[in-house]
Amino acid sequence: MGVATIGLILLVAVLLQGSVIPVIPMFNVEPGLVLLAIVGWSFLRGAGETLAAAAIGGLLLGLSSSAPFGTDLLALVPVAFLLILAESSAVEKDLFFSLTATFVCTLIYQAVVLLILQSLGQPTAWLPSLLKVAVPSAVVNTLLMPFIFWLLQRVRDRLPVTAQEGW
Amino acid sequence: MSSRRLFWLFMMLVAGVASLFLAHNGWSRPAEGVLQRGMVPLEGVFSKVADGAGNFFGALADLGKLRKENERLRQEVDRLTTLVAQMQEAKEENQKLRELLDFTAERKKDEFLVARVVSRDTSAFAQTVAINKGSNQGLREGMSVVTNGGLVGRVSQVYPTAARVLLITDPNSAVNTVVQGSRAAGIVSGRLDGSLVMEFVQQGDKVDKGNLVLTSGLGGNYPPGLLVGQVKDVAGDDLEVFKELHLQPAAKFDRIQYVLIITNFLPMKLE
Repeated sequence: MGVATIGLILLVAVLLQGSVIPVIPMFNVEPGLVLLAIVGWSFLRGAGETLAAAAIGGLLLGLSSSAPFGTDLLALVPVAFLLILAESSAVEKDLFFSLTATFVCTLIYQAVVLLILQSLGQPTAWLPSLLKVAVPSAVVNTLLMPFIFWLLQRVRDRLPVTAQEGW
Repeated sequence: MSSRRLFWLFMMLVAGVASLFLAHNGWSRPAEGVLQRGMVPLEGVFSKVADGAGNFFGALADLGKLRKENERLRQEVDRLTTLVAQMQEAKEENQKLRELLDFTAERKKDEFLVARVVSRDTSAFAQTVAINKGSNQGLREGMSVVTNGGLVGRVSQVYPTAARVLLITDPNSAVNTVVQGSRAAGIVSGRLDGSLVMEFVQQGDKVDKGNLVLTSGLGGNYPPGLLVGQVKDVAGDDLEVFKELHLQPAAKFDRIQYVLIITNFLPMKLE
């Protein structure tokens, strides 16, 4: 049930990210709804569903992005790894922790995408890409996280209380 | 971390590398086409929502001007009904298509196909849009895409029922252009922030603010004479070999709903 739910959430997120988000003027920065949903869901449902969410999210992003198919899936591997590590760590999972995780995960995701594009032969301007795209996007994602988390929490609360699914 | 999770993480890594390898060699295109077939109708529904949102945020951007107009419009709002709103929507759509039709009438030698923009690129590093026409309707990679405003880009990926258009504002796009009047030549490409820059313009060439920039046809990638933008700023020191022109794009990229694909012009292949 949890995996199906996050699958549906991610489908809506990717459709919104490709249609509604680009027409909202936000200083040329677009939030990554799919990434936010994966990070948020990971904190709510645990490591098992994180992997499933990252895999589904990566595939859906691959379909809606001009980057070669697989780029997003690959970029989400270190993100999923970090989220699973974070869950198993002894650090207290408070608001500050989840906001920091969102910021770091966005930066890592964008950096890996850049790295893959560069390794495929695309000209990559690292400094402008990081300063004009990755960092602003990480800031916007971090600011949006509390709202996304609240939304996901409401969805999670409607799910039947069962053992967590996932891989 | 459990070994089971590590195993699935590793499988995800393998799947990612495999997909990338297949995609990079173009072997995954048929499978992507099948999946795209499922996505296009959904994207179509969401793009209609986006049109509404775009109009809303566009209006917000013009708030100053709209305030005065709002007073006048407020008196009219009461009279509006749902039916009238729907008719207005249809009228706007009709108007956009009519403008495209006028544009096609101006370029009699070209053959056009109308397509609707169904989604924007989800990648932060690329400027592309997906359209609802594909190889089934005769689209081929490299075809030029325009609106009544001007050049939009070129078809970069084609699936049976959908295609992706690389916008001229993408950093990987390069368009051979000339400045109208002075015939100063250069290459227009995009920047990460979505702006448009004309590079490699000879320092001695005379260019003024407000000059129009058109495709030159050089290189055979785009037909000549398509409006690309207008010069809004000339940068570059007199001692430099080239000057850089900052352009105002002719097409309104943030509000594109329909585009025209020039179907009788294919880019030249050098091999």
